[in-house]
Amino acid sequence: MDWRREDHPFADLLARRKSEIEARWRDRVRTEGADGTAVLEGALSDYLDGLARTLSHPHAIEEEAQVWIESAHEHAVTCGESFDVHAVIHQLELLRQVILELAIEEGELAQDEIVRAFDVPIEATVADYVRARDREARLSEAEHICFLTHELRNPLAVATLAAAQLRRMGLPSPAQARAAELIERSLSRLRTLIESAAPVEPWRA
Amino acid sequence: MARVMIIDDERDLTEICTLVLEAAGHEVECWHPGEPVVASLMAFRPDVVLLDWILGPVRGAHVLGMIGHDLRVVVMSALHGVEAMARSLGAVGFLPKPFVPEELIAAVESALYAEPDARNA
Repeated sequence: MDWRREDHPFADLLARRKSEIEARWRDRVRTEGADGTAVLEGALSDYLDGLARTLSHPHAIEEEAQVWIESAHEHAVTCGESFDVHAVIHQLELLRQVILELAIEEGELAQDEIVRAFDVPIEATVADYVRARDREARLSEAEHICFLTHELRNPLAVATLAAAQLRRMGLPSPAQARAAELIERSLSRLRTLIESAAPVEPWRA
Repeated sequence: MARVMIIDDERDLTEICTLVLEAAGHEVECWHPGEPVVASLMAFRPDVVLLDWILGPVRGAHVLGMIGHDLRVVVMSALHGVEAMARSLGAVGFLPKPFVPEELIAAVESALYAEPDARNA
């Protein structure tokens, strides 16, 4: 489908000068990016096509934002790195600047649509990043608690058995017997605490 | 009285379990890390085996897979979610850590008198 329409000059601009936009963006990322890595390189062409469709059909703007997020995820998996939200947002901003500069060169004064078209993917990227970080933190915490409860159970088993065995063997004085009883009670409380804090182990069916 | 072999790499735990079971009248032998497990079992010929699930690099699950259908094995573990897996490999009992002496003794005696058709395939 031909997205060039007279009443959507930016959509037409994106279609006509797509190669130039891509070249300028890569150059901008190389000189102004944190490490020169074009995080969103793989999705750039698709995104520009999607952006043109969005400008022609404003109701589709939120759907097109997903392209950037998926590209950033894919890149992170390939590189074995965490999802770098700062790189994604910075490179989206650079793309917005490139397109606005071209629009100004062509004498276009109404830039609001371009600005708004980038606000949605940036907001969606940040929201997705926050959700991903939150999931990671919760998983890390659960794994840590699981490890801790496992490691505590072995020495607790030894102490519990030893204290109970002392009592069963019969201690010579009431004070010693009382001390052993206190040890057993405290260990029982520890056991209850650990079991109440223990998360469901991931391998449990 | 039963012949019980304890297979666990936690030395303090095997020592206290030995004290408890010997006080209850059982004969106890402990596996020593580094020794071949199956050879140790064949030398002692236990009536009941107390087997730790993790067991360091040896892996209790692997040992259970080898002996679970020939010997009466009670799996001990700080991992409370592995009972179903242990029983599917032939364990006749499961003892979640930590446990008190009465639980240990009951687990050994229950395993000793487990009916052959009560052992899980």
